[in-house]
Amino acid sequence: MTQYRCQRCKETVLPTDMKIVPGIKCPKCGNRILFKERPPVVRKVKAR
Amino acid sequence: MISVRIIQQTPDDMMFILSGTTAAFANTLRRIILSNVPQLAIEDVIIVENNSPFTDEFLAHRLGLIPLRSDSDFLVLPDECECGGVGCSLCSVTLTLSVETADEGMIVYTRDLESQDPMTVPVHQEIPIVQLGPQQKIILEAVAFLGIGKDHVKFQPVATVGYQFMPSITLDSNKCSDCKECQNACPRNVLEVENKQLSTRNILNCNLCQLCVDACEDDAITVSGSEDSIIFRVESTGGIDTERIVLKAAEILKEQALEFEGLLKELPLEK
Amino acid sequence: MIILLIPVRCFTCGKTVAHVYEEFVERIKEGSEQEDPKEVLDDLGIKRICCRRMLVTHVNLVDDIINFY
Repeated sequence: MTQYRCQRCKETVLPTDMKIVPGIKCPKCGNRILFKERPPVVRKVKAR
Repeated sequence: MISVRIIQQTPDDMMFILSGTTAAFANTLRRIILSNVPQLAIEDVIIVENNSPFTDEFLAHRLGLIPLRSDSDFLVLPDECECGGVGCSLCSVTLTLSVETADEGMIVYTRDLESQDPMTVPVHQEIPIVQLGPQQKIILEAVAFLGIGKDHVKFQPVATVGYQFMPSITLDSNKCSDCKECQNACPRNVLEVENKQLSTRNILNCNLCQLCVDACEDDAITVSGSEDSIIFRVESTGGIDTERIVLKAAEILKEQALEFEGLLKELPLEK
Repeated sequence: MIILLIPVRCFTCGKTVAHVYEEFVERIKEGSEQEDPKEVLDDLGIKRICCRRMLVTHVNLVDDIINFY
């Protein structure tokens, strides 16, 4: 599941939480800068 | 008859003179060294955590290019392995990297890579892999396989291999007018003129550029390559010693020739 | 593409160049022990022009970029 983190209040934001408020906004503090979190999946990359 | 005379030999550099053959043979040897001699390199990178400014692909690519030193006698090519190329202890070596920074950033070097096999280590300990800022973390596992240069350059055991014809310089001191133009023209300092006496020093440095011939107005010099004597140079990346690279190339050439012979014998040739 | 870190190998010939970069930068730095870059490269065993340009022309942009992560 994709997760975001608010730049100001460092709160984890789920896509479902964002639907509460119109536009892209942190539902807790209203800040409009969100960072996408790296999913906790092990990745296998070819070294080429 | 082919004869070989070694001029200079260190684990990283080698120069020898091949005589009694043609350029075709030297080129065969060169091409086999470039594309068929197996060398160990990181192929798969399993990234558990990475929040550095660099992408996973960037990291993996840099790791792949790091030359690894290993005794490849114990390892087999993944295609020829019993496991079928999946990666068992017979055909692969695993290296792990786990670094974490607190309040200060750091540069991660190849020396931070921990190898599962103490015999297999990066050739150079101080290649920077990534630079981390504060509170960043990288945990990854890199699996190294043997491979050949045909597949990817990282599997090439050499930086450069090349050959040139042995220079043969004929000097006619009787024609010399002592103008020293040839001496000044030579970029490799091969020629020497003193009191109308022409001489050469370290003739192996000559690259047959003909600048001295053009500079000489008295036609006292001719430079040509002697076709049956070839200077062959090998420069290793450090993974395998130069001597072993050349030996291995000869072995591969022999194997390929035998395979070809076997195939020819099976053909229903007309008599 | 912007090259952030010194490339591990020379683009043209494939010789490893990254391991001498830091020493090279240290030795050509302005100061009392500043050396001629030409002599430093010769001393480090970087002989060909292709490998030399890898070290001479590189700008280490990571130091600037790392502050924004």
